[in-house]
Amino acid sequence: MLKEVESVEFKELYSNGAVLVDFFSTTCGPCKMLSFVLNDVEKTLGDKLSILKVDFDKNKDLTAEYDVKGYPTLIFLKDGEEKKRMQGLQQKPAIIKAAEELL
Amino acid sequence: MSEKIGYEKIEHIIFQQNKAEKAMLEEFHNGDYSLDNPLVKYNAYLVNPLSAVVLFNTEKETAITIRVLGKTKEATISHTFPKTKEHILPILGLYSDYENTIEIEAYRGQKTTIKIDVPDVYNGEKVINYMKTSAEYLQDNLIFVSPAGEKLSSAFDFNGDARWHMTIPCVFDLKRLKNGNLIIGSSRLIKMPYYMSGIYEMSLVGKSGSWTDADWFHNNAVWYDENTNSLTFSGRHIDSMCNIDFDTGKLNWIIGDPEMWPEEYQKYFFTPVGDGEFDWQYEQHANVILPDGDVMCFDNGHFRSKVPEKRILNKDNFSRGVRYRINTDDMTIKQIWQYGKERGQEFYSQYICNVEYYGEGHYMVHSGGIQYYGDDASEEFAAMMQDDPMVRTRSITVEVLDDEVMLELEVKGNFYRAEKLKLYHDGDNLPLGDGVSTGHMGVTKEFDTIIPAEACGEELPYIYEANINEEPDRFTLKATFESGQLVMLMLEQGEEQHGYYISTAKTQFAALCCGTFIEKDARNITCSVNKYGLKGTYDVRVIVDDTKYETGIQITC
Repeated sequence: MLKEVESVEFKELYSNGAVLVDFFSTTCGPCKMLSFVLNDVEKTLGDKLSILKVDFDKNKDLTAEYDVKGYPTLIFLKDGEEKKRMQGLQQKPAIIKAAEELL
Repeated sequence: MSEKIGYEKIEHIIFQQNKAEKAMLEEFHNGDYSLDNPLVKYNAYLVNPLSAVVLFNTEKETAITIRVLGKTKEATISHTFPKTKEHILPILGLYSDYENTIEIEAYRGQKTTIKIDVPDVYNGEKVINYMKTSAEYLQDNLIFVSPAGEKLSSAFDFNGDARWHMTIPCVFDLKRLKNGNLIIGSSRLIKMPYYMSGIYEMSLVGKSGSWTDADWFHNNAVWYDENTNSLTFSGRHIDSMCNIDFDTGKLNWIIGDPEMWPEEYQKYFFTPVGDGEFDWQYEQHANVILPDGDVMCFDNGHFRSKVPEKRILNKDNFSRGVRYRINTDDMTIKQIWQYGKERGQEFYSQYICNVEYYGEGHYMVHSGGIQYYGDDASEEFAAMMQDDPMVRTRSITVEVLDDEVMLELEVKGNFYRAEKLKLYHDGDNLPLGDGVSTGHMGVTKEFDTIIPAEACGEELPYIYEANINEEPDRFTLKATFESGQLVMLMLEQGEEQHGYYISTAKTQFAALCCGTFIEKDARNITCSVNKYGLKGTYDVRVIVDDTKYETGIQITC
């Protein structure tokens, strides 16, 4: 599953198994590139990983809660608990490797 | 080729020089040149406009002495070449913007004088602020400086006159090899802020011969110590000099402020002892192990603390050359010498620089990265504000003998390292024959995910001001995009695709050792792709946001 969410929906989904949260901005080139990478990741991992995209500029409560300083920031959650964090544009193999550690 | 996209084919400097040398030797061998009538080739190797080569034959094997007459008697540079009949002699140490006089004298024989009129290679710019030393002290040595900013490498005599200069932006350190040649960082940038394509080896006349993301350590020096069979690395970004065993790689010790380091590393740090003054070094450069085991470095001093709350401003800071004595049995450290602290911010460099050890009590301290904004040391990198009239950059090189300053040179601009060298050496000062390029650039990392953009069949619009330079081993796209645009360079050959993501995000560099190459317009991008690993002829296309454009340019690998 890959979907863009806001705070309310995020709270419903973030603690459910393996979750990858992508804090992005619509004004950021690397974030745009990362969205294509995450599409590829979803094709590979399917339902095993939920990918939640959070607009950095619209969800200040979540950026504060997760202490996100910049974008893109990827946070890997397992049953709601943060396991790993990546900052900046990442390639697909690195994201798959980190995600598989959650599965 | 495209009418919209600029394209230029650039030959490697080594091959340009090979051609120039062949043409020079052909002209020489086809002519009748004697000591009375030598062939004179100014800037024969294209990159040192303060040099020339003179070529002539003598009937008998004869030693020849060359004298480049100085503006003062003590500034004359001379060298005697071994006896031979065919003389191909480098002339080094010409003055800029000056009609130079060169005497060529045969051993117990005739003397000829030639004139070489050298243009102003600095285009009217005043290069140095001052040189304070004496002819007796510096003799025929020059102080060489290699650039970290927009200036180029030069070398200065005791009068402060430039006697050596390079017209290509070679960066980083420069050193003399045992064969007398220089090694210096190449002029070919791979990626900002400091990934260069290896090193050049060249004679002083400029003839070249060879070359090869996260930066938590930022190594800027490595020193092999034969006495302990160990290597010492200078890690700027961890404020530490780290010594490891050469054979096993085992960590032996760390010189640096131990505050904030994890408990398991504390055993590697030293404890200051003695009654004298002591400061740790921060963001240091160019560590040197002395014959007695003491450790020297240039202590840039940036922040002067590992703790963010204790950081001090650059205007309140100092840089210095420092010598520490360490005892690895009881892990204690003493500061036994320093120069520069007393000068405060006027000698402060937050990046680059070096020290040299000539003998006991005899040192060079090169503060090459001094940057002022208005009346105080700048808190930002000047390279990021090049057009701001409030910014002033300079470089101060000091030589100290028994605590007396024997030389002080202040040059406009920032210079990575300084080195004291003579122009001529005892070996072959101009080895002839083709220079070679060794090694390769490696495979440029591709992006795994290709943007699924529609090919529009149109050329990349003018507004992106794109141009492509092709070199023998790579090509480079330069263009201008707005921050936040999605850009990917594509190489396509039938179904075969290679994608190279280009970031348009604004970048904050943590180091700017190669500020020489920084773009004045932050929207400008440079993307180089090596040909190594690619085969065939590729169409070059560029994806911008959701559209794939043609460039009309093909690259054959």
